[in-house]
Amino acid sequence: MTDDWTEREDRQAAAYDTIGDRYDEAFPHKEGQLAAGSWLLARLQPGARVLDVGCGTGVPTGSQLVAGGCDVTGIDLSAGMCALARTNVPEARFVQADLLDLDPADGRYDAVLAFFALLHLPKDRMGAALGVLHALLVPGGWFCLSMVEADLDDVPIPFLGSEIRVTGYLRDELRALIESAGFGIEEETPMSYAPASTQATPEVQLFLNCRRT
Amino acid sequence: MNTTVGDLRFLNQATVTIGASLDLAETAAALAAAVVPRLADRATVYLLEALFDPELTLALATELRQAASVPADSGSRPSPVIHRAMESGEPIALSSDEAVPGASLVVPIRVRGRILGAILLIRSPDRSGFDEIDVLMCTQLAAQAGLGVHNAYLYEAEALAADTLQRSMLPTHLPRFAGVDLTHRYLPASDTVRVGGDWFDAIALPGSRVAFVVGDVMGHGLSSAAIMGQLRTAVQTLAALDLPPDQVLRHLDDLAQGLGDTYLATCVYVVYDPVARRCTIANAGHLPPVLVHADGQNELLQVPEGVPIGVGGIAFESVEISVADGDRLVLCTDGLVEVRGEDITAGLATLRANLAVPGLSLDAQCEVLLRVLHCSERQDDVALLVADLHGIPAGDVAHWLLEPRRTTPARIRRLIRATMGAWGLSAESDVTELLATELVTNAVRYATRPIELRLLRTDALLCEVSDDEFRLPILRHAADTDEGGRGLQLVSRLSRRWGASRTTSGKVVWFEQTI
Repeated sequence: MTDDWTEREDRQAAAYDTIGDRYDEAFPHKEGQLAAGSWLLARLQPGARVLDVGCGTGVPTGSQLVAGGCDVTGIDLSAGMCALARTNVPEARFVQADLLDLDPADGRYDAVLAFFALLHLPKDRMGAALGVLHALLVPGGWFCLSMVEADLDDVPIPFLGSEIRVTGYLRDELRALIESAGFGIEEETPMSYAPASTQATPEVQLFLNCRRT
Repeated sequence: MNTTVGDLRFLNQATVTIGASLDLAETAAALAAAVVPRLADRATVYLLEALFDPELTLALATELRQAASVPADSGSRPSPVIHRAMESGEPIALSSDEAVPGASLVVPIRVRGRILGAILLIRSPDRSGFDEIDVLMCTQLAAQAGLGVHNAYLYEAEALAADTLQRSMLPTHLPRFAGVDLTHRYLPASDTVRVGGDWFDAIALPGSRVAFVVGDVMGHGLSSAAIMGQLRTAVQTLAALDLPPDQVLRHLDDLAQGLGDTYLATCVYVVYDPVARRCTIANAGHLPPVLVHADGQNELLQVPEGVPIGVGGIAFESVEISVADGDRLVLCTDGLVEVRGEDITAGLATLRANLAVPGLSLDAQCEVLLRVLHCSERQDDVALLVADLHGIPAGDVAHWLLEPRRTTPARIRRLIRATMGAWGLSAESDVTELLATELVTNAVRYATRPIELRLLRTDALLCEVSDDEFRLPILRHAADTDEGGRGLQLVSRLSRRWGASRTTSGKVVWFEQTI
């Protein structure tokens, strides 16, 4: 990784360190995320290895999966978020790491979730990120993704008092991207969402439940 | 012919009594009471019916009303002699005869050459007839009563005019809004002469937002009502420009300064956004709104008090608060909570205590407040506006950020088609796509930051396009040879309404489509 990239990722992480708990206050309703978690649990054996990319505070997904009997690993760029997650879900393992640095040789997963995580990457890194996720999954492994529907490529957006660089696709473009990365889409759910904060705009969230082909 | 000190003392005392009231019936009663028993044993006062009904023309009136009699039930219908005295304008004294035992005297009640009625005095048969001094004294008292009656008439007429003006300038019903239920009450002061300058309003703003207004022009009477009308219209005009609440009040203040005389008014202006679930509030010296939560808890909103409209030179401040679906917003004027001689905090405490009952309907809530707080001798008028904030469900809103590109119009058509399809509005989608394309094509040309597209489904479909270019589009007539300029014509022709306003970061252009 180049120094520029590291610096950029540090800035994104620092923004989330600042946001901390306010993230869950601004986005209190997580029905979409919980529904995707339930969809996944219905397909996993007890003890399944699950990776939660961009785990945030560990709530509700980390705790839902732990309660569902999974062996959960969460990663996040933000040290602050990892610390919150360890407090919220002590049964899971949380590591401050960049998805692009993960090595499949360290172990593969039965399922990967990336809820509102990949939207922090520029489009030119998206292919690589999906490649890493693909490689981290066992064949036939499950992949749950959520993104915000938009047409943005690494655009700075004011978010909860900080500034975050955000990328978004329209649903048909996202579908094509995911399929070309070697995933089959089993379910697609768009959902309008109004944050409980004046510092975040309402958005259309896209939930894709996929399987590694 | 000798007048005595006793006569003068009587005259002086009676004049004071008769002039004490500004009420027609009281003045008539005082006149009748004054002449009995010294001048007569029975007295009846007749006044023109038109005096009691300012909508009738006084100059043409002839019909009389028996306004007072002493003893109370001794009156009779006006006899021809009454009319004769009124026509001639001179007193008529009749001596006792067989038909009417006892001497009688009819004295017209007149003021500035106009006859307003007459007083009939009757003596018992054992008393002598009316002499010249009796007639002069009675004429003097009737003249005093005439002044009082006429003043009372003018006073009532002004009160009626002020009341009519006040009512004609208040909304009789408020429009309906998506995400809001509301109701209102307006009560004039119990003493109708003290018509106040209270007003209230609910105004539709772009983006399905609503402005709630309650204001109070200080002072009473015709001029307060007239100023109120001007301020209410000004607030509506400023609201239509979609200015932030503090700026609405600032412009209103500028305007009030320009109205000439120094008028002061308090006003609170609240903008409710049912999508963001947020109220933005600015205050000009008015009572702050009360927000009642679904569990019955309520809070007096912490809004900078500001200074009344008309003071000038002091900045207003907008504050933003988040509201939850099911919250109830209560706005009122001080007439509701201010009880003479009591601190306003006592009235406010009573108001808040009576908002604590959850589940009351809007109308029931208003009735409770008016019953508890609006005692019958209230000196001031009352305006009350109560709104239930329901919000617009997230599922009826779609919002996207899109970087401005050549391909953006095609992208937004896909977004609109998919969303309207999911809303069961595929049939309307073509028009929405067409008009949105016009707006987005324009936005893409000038925007440097991502543009925003928002669709909102209520009883109509609202489509908004925001960008970071501040210049507002202007609807102009495109010549046959012009390449551009047709977009807005199309929007104007095919939409139910459209508009454009500045935002903090640029502008928003919107149109509304019937669905």
